Amino acid sequence: MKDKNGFIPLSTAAILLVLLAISMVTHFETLKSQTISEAYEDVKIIALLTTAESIRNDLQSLARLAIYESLWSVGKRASEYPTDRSRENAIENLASEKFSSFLYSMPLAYPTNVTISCSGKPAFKLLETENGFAIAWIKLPEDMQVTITSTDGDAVLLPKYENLEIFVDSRYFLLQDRMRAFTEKLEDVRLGWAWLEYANAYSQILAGKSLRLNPRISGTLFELAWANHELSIFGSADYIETSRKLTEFGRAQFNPAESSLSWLTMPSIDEALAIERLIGECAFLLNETKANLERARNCMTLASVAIENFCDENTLSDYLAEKIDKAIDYLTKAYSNAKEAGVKLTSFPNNLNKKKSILSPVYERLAGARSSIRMLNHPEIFENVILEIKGSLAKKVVALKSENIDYESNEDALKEIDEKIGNLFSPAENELLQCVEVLGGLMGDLKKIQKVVGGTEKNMPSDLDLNFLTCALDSQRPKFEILDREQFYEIFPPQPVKPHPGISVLHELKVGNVKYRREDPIGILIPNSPLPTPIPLDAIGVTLWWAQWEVELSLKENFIEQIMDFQNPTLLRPIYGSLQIAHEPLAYRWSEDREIFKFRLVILSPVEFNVAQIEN
Amino acid sequence: MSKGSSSIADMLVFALLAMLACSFLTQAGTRDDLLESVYASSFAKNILIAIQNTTSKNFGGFEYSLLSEDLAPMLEKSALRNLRHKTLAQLLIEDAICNMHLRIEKDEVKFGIEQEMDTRLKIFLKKILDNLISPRFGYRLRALAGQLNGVSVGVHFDFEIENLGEDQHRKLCSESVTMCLPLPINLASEASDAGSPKILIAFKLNLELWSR
Repeated sequence: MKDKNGFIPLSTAAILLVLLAISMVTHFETLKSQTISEAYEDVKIIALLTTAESIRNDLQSLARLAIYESLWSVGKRASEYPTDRSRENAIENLASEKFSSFLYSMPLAYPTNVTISCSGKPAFKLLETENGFAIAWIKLPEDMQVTITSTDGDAVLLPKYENLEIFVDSRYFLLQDRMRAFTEKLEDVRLGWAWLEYANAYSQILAGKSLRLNPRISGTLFELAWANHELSIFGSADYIETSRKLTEFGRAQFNPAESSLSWLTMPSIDEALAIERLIGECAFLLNETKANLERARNCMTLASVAIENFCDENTLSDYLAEKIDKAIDYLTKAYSNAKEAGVKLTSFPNNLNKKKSILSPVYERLAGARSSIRMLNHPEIFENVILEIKGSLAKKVVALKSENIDYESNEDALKEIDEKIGNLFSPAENELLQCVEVLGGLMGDLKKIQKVVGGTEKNMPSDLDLNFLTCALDSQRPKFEILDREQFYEIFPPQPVKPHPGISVLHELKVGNVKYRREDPIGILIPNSPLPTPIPLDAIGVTLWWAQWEVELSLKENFIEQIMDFQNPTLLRPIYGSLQIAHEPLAYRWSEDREIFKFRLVILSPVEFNVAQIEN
Repeated sequence: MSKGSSSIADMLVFALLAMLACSFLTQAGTRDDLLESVYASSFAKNILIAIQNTTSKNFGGFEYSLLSEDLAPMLEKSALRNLRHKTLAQLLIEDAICNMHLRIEKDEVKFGIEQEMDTRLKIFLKKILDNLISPRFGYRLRALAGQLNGVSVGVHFDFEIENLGEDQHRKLCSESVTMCLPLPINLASEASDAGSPKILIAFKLNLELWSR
């Protein structure tokens, strides 16, 4: 080498570098171009598949809407179908009709790259799945053809939809099963009603009253038996309607205190207020009793301490006389307060104590509170002790006022009396405190009850709460009109009594005539005879008194029983025929023309009773 | 030319060409926005399919009340609507049916009695989409009821939720699916006209994805 140069000139090396870079870039670009091209192809295919999937979902969605409409239409006329299968067939056929009409309109809604052609009818099959929900199998028409073209027109997809499976989120089968059980066991209503009539009749005889049969009472007892049957089958009842009828009936027809139905009625606000007032007064009197006992004891303690500390005997005797007088005064007050509280608690109306109403727990606890205080249960013991103490104290006052006073013996005697008051006070204090606590708790409960009852009465006037609700809704929605009870419940189903199975209940039941046909010999021979037929049993020297009726109740018109799937308010429905739409629960309505319910009422009693004229 | 100056020129040419080569390579190595858009587009389509197929129960369930709480507390539970079995797309369609406005000449007809479903659904879907999309992209989901062909009736339903982040970014893709929405009048019709053609309008669900 003639010079110190490298293998190649730097410029040559640079040119090589540039060439290398260019070749690498070209390679990268080719790769990228291929990737993008493939990705575009993928996206195009994904777009076609997405559209195909979207059409499938759309078909399912429209089929579900068709099923919703069919379930509603058939469910509202459930009793028109003789069997479950015929009802399900009707749902399937109606859904098929509705879905067909959707299918014919579908092409218009889709963009131009989607064509749907179809002339046949889809076939629906409704099946039960768990928890009473439904599944619909849909076989789409064989001639249904869907073509999806990509936006550039290069790719075409011909998806084939054969079968669809839809979960229907309404428990149609549960409603159907429960309603079938209800209608098949309507005999239970008759038995329940008969049982209530027997209880009513015998309770009157045992109470020594005349046996009075009243169509209104029979009608109300029938409603109760009906509600009880609903509760046993559906886990709920049309409790608002039943309690409204009972309350109206109780208030309009009877003085609740004397009514044989009073134990079934809801409390009125007045009743709750009266009890609240009574509890308040008792609590006050018991507190006063406790305070007066305490004051009497303090007086005696002060008196016994004074004997040791006083120097001037004249002043001491005056002081002692004053304290003892006061102690007697306090004891008298304590006794009179306790007696008054006892009288008030004892004088709780007997019929209230027996009430089976929302206030029952209050009555029970009041009775418990009263029995926990000995001085109220056994006032004579309390009275004797008080009298004894008062007697001893009075003697001391007399002795103190005489001239020869033995203060030492007086001190012992006063201490003894103090002890006696203490003995009386200590257990009484605990019992009184306990009672006052119970009364305080009851007062709180009463306030809550009053709030509920008051709120219910305020919000739900006698013509139900439709006016209230309509007014409330009107303030927001001017187009709201008057709803009837059925329409109202369809939008706002009442909360079921039991959470399982979660069904709301509505019934329309109009009791018509109730006829009593006397069947015992005297009743047959002498209509309206107040006497039952005597059956002398000479062998045992007893006479049985027998009266018998055939009681027959007829309904004015078909009864209507409607149950709603409270837990699944999922159907889109127009509200009371307007254009407004809301989610409502599936309703299953049953109407039947069962008109007559009857049973035989046989009364046998060893006690003679009178049969009062049947009231109408 | 002297030897020294020739070497310097050689080095300069080398440096120049080396820079050129580097710039080629740098250019080739930059992230391609087109590819990101393609990825986003595919992602958006999957999200739309998920919306059509997933029930609200999978995301904790959807419920709303038909009445405002102060209106009738005693009806609180009766007014509650639990729609846990419905897919997200179904909820959107039913929200559209319940909250659609129709303009027929000068009159406006409003369907649905309560706006609460619309408000609650927006909150519910936003929570879901924030979880699914937000870590990667900003998004805007719109649901629009289409117009009726050849009928002088105006349809109005517009549903929009978005989470685009604080800064304005580049839109990567806009994907749509079209579904059929029965006009609420169909639902109000009697059972007797079951077989008559129903009016269906296009219901477009559009998802835009934006870079973060």
